[in-house]
Amino acid sequence: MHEAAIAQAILDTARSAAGKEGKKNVKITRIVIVAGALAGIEQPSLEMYLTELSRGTPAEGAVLEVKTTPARLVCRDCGHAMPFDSGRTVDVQCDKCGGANRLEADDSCYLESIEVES
Amino acid sequence: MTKKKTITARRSILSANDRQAAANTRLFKKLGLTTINVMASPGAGKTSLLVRLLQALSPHGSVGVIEGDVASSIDTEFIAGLGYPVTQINTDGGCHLNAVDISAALGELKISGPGFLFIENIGNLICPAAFDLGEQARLVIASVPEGDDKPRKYPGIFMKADVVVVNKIDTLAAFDFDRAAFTAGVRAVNPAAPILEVSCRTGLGIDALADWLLALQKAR
Repeated sequence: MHEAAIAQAILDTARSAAGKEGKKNVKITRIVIVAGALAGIEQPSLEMYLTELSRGTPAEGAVLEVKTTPARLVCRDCGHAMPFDSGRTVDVQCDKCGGANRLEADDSCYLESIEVES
Repeated sequence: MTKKKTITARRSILSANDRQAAANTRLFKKLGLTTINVMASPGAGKTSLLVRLLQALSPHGSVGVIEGDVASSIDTEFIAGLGYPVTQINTDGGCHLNAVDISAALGELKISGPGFLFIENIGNLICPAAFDLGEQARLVIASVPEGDDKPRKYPGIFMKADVVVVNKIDTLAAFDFDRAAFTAGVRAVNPAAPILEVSCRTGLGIDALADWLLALQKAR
C-alpha cells in the first residue's frame, strides 16, 4: 500500500550503490531486493511505481526482482511448523495438535544487489 | 562495448528514514519527551484516546500532540481548543507518517519535557507499521466494533505494538467481539505486549493505561 515511498527509496538506494562505481553513464539494469513477508510489498504495484519514478533516471527500464523471506506459523506446544502466506489470516491454532501458534515473520526490506551496465 | 557488472550491496531500503528516526530518538531524549506512536484504523478512537490521556497525564508534566492526517485539521483544532499544544501534518494522500515529517513538526511544536509527546499516525493498519519515527513506544488501538479478528488479519502492526488498547469496551454487548479470540490473535503475533481495555466514552481503563505510560517514562 505504501509502494510509492518504497519505490522511491529503492531507486535512491540503488542509485547510491551505483554511484560508488565512480563511472559516468552507468545504467542500472536489474535491482534485487529482499523483503520479509510482512514488509507489505506487493510486487506488481511496486513495479508500476518504479516504472514511473525511474523515467529519465539511470534506472529507467531496470528489472525488479523481489526475493521474499518466508514466514511460518510454529506451534508453541508441539513445534509443528507450517508456511504462512502473508495474504492470509493468521491461524491461531495448530492444525496438528490444536495448540497455540506463533507467527515467525519479519518486515525488513533491503537491497541485495544491482546489475549495472557501463 | 557494454560492460555488465553485479554490485552486491546489502542496504536497508528505508535507511534514510531509519537514520532520521535515530536522530529523532536522540532529540526526544534531550528534550525529555517520552514519545508514543499511536496507530489504529480510522474511527478506532485515536483522537478520543489522546484527549483522555492528555487529561490524565498533563498533571504529571508537559504534553503535546503531533496530528497526522491525510487532509484536514479537524482533530488539531479540537485538541488546540482544549488548550493542549498540537501541530498538524497533512500527508496529502500519503498513507503513513515518516521520520522526516516528525522532525519538521517537532520544530513547530516547541515543547520540552519532562513529559509526553503523542504522535497520531494516519488511520490505517498497514503502512504506519513500516516506518520508524524514533518513538519510545508503539501504541496500537483496536476497537470492539471492528471485530476480534484484526490481529490475525493485520499481524504486522500488532507484532510491533508495545501496548495494545481495546477501545469502546462499553459497547461489548452490542457486538460479536470475542475477547478470548482477540487475545489469542494478539498472542499469536506478539507474546509480550499488554492488552488494556478502555472506553474513551466512560473513561474506563484510562488510569491503567496512564499508569503504564508513566512507568514507561520512569524506565527510560
